[in-house]
Amino acid sequence: MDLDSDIQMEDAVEQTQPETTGKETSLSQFPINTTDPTTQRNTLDGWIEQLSQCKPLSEDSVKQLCAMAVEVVKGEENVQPVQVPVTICGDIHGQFHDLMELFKIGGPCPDTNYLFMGDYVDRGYYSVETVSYLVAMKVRYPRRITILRGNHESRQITQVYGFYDECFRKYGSANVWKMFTDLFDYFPITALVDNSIFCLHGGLSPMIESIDQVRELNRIQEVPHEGPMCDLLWSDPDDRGGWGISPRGAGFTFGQDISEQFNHTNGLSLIARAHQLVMEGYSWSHQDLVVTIFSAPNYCYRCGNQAAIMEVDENHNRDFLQYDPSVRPGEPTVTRKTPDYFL
Amino acid sequence: MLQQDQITRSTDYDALACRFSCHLKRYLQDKYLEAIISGTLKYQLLAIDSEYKRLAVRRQLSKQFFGLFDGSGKAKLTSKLPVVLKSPVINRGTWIRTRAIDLVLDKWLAAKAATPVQIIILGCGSDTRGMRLLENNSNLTVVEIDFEETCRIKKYSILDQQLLRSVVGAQPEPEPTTVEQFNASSAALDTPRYHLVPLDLRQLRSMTQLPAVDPSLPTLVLSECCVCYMEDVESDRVLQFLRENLVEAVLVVYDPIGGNSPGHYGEIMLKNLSMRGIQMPSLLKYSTIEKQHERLQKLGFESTNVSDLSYIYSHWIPEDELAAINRLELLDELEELNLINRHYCLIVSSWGSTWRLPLPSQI
Repeated sequence: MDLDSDIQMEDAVEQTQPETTGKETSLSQFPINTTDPTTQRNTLDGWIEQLSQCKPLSEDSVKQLCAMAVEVVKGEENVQPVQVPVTICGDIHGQFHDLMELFKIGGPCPDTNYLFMGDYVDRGYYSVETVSYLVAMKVRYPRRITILRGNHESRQITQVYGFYDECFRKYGSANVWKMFTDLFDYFPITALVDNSIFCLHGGLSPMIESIDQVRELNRIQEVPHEGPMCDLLWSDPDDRGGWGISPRGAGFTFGQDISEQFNHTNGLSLIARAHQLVMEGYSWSHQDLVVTIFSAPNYCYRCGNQAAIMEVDENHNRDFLQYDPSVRPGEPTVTRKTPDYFL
Repeated sequence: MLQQDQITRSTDYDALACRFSCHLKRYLQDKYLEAIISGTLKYQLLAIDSEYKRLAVRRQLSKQFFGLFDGSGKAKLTSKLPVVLKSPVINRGTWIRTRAIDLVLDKWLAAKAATPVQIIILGCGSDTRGMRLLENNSNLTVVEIDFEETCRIKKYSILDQQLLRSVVGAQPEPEPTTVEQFNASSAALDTPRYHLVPLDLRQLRSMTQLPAVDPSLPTLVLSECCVCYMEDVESDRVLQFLRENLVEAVLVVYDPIGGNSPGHYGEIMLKNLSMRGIQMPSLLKYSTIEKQHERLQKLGFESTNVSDLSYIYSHWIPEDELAAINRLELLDELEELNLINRHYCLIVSSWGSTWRLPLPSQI
């Protein structure tokens, strides 16, 4: 029996070790706790440049980056206010090259303002590069990019769905996983665009009637198994009215009546959320009171779906931009593990 | 052996690893599974004649089975469970596949409890379903068919372990100790109630090739991801042969279908599988349950129950059982599971008797 044919291909990223470029080495020599803004900007620009080539940072750099990021995001609110114009994005799930495609389609940051609604890690092969890039952008351009927490930004979920494993493979220990998951505790959980569009990863909670109640939550913790914070990151809209038990095992399903009441009470025009794979990249529900946005094309390299992002302009006009998986002409096909099928 | 056939054989280890993950997560209880994996690894390695290749395969197999078996196939299950088994979406899909087939078999066996019956498993690989069935049904004979290399590994896996030997009713035999002895030994195993038949199904032309099968007995034929790897003309011939030669039978087929969804799921699947050299000629040709249904009708099969696995998930399984399954692990990927399940079908067709599957059909 031949080795080549018998056994699944190896995951190519396994061999990827974080590269320490000459550039980064020199930049990393600056002390971690430097407070000089120019030095910090230069360091960040170096990291962003390296990450944009899908090369992971060194463990030391991730440590510095996460420390800087905590300072930035811990001051943000549970309901982080965001101004228009802004481009709202859904799940990315470690599909780094598709994230670069997203910035091509939507326009580069910081020229375009971005709001990401969580799920940066797990499932795809480049969670480390993806989350490092977005966090570096957040630290570099804190007013231009907002990154919310998704249900995958959690210690428990990342141990099942791949981020923990990927960190271990790429860094040889769980240190980087710990740095990032500690940082995730500080991410804001919702955003409010111009007092009109309520953005969050999952959906509503039976324990939350008003946005003010979200403001009162203590969010700086691991995503709990139940309760309002869990629901905001796990719930889904449903065709059935009222509250329902979620087949996911966390959060609830909520009907149109619930969305109508919530939007009315809080003077909202729309709830924008992510969390669910939708084949066209976006999908309306509850008679346009709720929109689902999903920004990982051909999810898990298997699903064949389009991805989308939603632009909201100064006049609150909404425009959806759809896109397919990135093709990088001239580059060799990346050898990677075949996705699982039932064979 | 042809390279392409070796690749097809290798898919058995995907299925085995999926079932093992489900077993460890308690979706499925299978007391024979650890013994069969242990033997499969041991004799797979014994079958390789190059020391270098054996080392490489050992490393790969160990990885495929989550590092829970050492190089000789010995289980290390007392150690702490690995962090990452198969993802929940794969566990759930493996569970529904197994459960759906179990349901069909249970219904048929319950209806035939008073008479001798036989089950033929095409492309059995390392599956232990036949053993579980033998244990619970004393009126049953099981005939398993696969490539010679696969049968040989399975045969010695069974003979190696008391648990497996006793359930199929086999006597211990001296085992080959060298690769030459192993590969020269007979791959067939015959006991009063269990027959392991080394046969390339594409060569099946006459019932004399299947002396263990009594064509007059009520028979259930199971093809679980088997005919999908054959060229259409070959799989048509196999199915037609069974239809014509068995007097009273039920055909159960579980196969992937490419679908006609806008996302080109089937084309992406073909492309992904081709990275491992796997071919699946039926995937796009019989891409929907309607096309599968039509195909079987043309081959002479009537009264066919055809559903995709997403339909079966929501229509065949009692709510309390689904609730218990939901509690086993968080499944964040419901939409993905539904999408994947819509791309596998289960076909149940019966002839020669009044028995019909008492479960709803999507068509």
